[in-house]
Amino acid sequence: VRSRGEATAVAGVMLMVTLAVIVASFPLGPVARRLPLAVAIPTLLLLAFELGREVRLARERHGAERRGAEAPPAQCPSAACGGGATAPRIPNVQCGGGASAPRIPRRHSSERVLFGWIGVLLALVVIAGMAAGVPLFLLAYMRVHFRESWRASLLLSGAIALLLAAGLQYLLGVPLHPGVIGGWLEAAR
Amino acid sequence: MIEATAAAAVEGAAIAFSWPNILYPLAGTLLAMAVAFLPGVSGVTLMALALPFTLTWEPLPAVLLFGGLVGGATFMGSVTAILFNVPGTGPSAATLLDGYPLAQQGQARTALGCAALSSALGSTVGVLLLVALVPFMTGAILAFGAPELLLLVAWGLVAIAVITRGGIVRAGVATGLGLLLSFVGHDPVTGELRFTSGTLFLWDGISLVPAMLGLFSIAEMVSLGVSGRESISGVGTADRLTGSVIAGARAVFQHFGLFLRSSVIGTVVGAIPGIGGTVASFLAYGHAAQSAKDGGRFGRGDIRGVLAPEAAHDAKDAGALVPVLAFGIPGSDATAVLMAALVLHGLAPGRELMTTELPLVFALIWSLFLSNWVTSLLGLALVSPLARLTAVRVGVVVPLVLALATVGAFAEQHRVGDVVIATVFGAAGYYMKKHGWPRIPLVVALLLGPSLERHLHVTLRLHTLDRLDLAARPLLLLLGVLLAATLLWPLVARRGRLEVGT
Repeated sequence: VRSRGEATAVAGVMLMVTLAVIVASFPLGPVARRLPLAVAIPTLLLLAFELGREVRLARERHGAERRGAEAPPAQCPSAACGGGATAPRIPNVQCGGGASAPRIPRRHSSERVLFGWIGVLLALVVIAGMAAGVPLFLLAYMRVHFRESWRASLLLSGAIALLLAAGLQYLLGVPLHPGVIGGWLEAAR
Repeated sequence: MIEATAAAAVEGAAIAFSWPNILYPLAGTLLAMAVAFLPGVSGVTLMALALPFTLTWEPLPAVLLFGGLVGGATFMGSVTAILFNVPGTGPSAATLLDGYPLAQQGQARTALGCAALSSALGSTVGVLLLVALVPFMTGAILAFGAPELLLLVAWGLVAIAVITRGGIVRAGVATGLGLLLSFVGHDPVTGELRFTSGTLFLWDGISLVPAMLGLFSIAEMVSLGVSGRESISGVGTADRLTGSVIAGARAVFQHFGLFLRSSVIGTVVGAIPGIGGTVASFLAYGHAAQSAKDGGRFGRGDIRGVLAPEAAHDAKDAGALVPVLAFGIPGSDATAVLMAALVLHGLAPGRELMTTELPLVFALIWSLFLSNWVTSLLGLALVSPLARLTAVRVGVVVPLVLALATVGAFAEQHRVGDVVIATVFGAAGYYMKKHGWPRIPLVVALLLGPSLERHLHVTLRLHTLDRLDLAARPLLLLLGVLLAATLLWPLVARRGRLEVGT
């Protein structure tokens, strides 16, 4: 149900973006708004159709869940599982053929953790700058989250630091973002 | 005329393949291949960087070097598309549709082998067609005005929406959203600012590189991170990877007709200025999907889905030279820099270049040809070590690709805002992938949106001035028919399947 709700939310966000474009088009001149409106209106109609479908599917799924909750506990059909063990009422979760504990999906929390780490990367780039922030992120993410060895983590973050400094900044002349700290240091100098 | 062209082609080959001239395209190729793995630094960036260094050179070495730079980056963009679902260039986006699923099934070697051979042979067909058609192509290119280009871009967008998995409604929505995002920034006619929310950063619109890095690489890494897989291919060690280079190379000869047709599509579409390789690759992919008699497993790992766009992608490089050399109209960023290099060395594109300097023009074409073969042969030699990357642990791949994507998003225009754009597109791409929304139509629409709008404005202006005579434009009618047929194809195919089912 939560996944269907999320699917509805995704379609809803797209609908809001399209609506925002339509609203923002009205103050524009007739030439500038011509194509945006010509694209946004059919897109909005298609999205409304898709959103309606998502809502209907979510309702059907919710109804099926409720009916499932009122029914007696389901039996696991797997012989390897004992054939008669009580299966947990968790949607889309297989018994796992012999495993005593059900595999509870932890997909959602992992998504949050992953996006959290991407946020850390963004913050490090803004604060410490590109040359220090990216290798620092790599070291922390590999070591803390994935529990990779110190050797692998240091080696890879060192290689990235070298690529940024020697490859991009020195050889190709790409100026790396100094970050807030880099800006302070520059000002102090 | 034909004899003179053939003689110039032979003379050009003698110039390009003689010692030490051959070193220039080889050096350009190796440089482009090496840089293609650096995030955010495309072959175009390298060409732009090389421009000032070659100013003091004679025209010939410079022309040969630039031919090598153009060809070198093409295949490497497809390598990252197959291995990591990250298209190195716009046209490589068509390769990932089936290339990445093959890599996920542990068959990266097959996909890379097929891509390498298909690219090399595709460029050969492109060059041979170019040599044969140079005397006639200039007239054909002039037949493409703004209305024809408008329909061609629209056809490309519709073909992509129709062939993408996930349903035509969702593909239509993704195309619409991509177009709307491409309208952010200045209006091309009035200069009015649109959808920038008063932000200076958005005045030039949304850059394609951070959007692509977000939609594909960041989204893919989040998806891989939460999937619980050991690695991209799902196996812990490279020894358990299946597939072989030979099987991939054999696929090119098994589907030789498709390969030839895709190469012709690439050369012809590549020769049309302002369209670029993305439409060529997707039209070839669409042709492969539509012409497959067995229905195929397109989108789930069909080798023909790698073969067709790769052949078209490399064949278009040769075709793309025609409008640059004959009219001075660059069809892409790479050909624009190439044209700048020619002009800086006193070689003005146009009739004179195509007559008195024809051997030099052919030296450039052969340099491109050599570069495509060297890239593909090196690619074939590197297939096994490259395929091993799909067996590297998630704990290494995810942090590394996220870091490289961040650097790549920043490197193009040196703006931290682009890193934010990449992150936003990363989140959008992840949820789109999770809930079955196709991302390819969005990114292609983002790429082709400005071109669509520009040609629409000119077409409408022609119509207002009563200078749009449909009877005098048979090409326009032909493109209209092709567009309508592509739109109706899903209905016909569905009805056919129903009849077969009953």
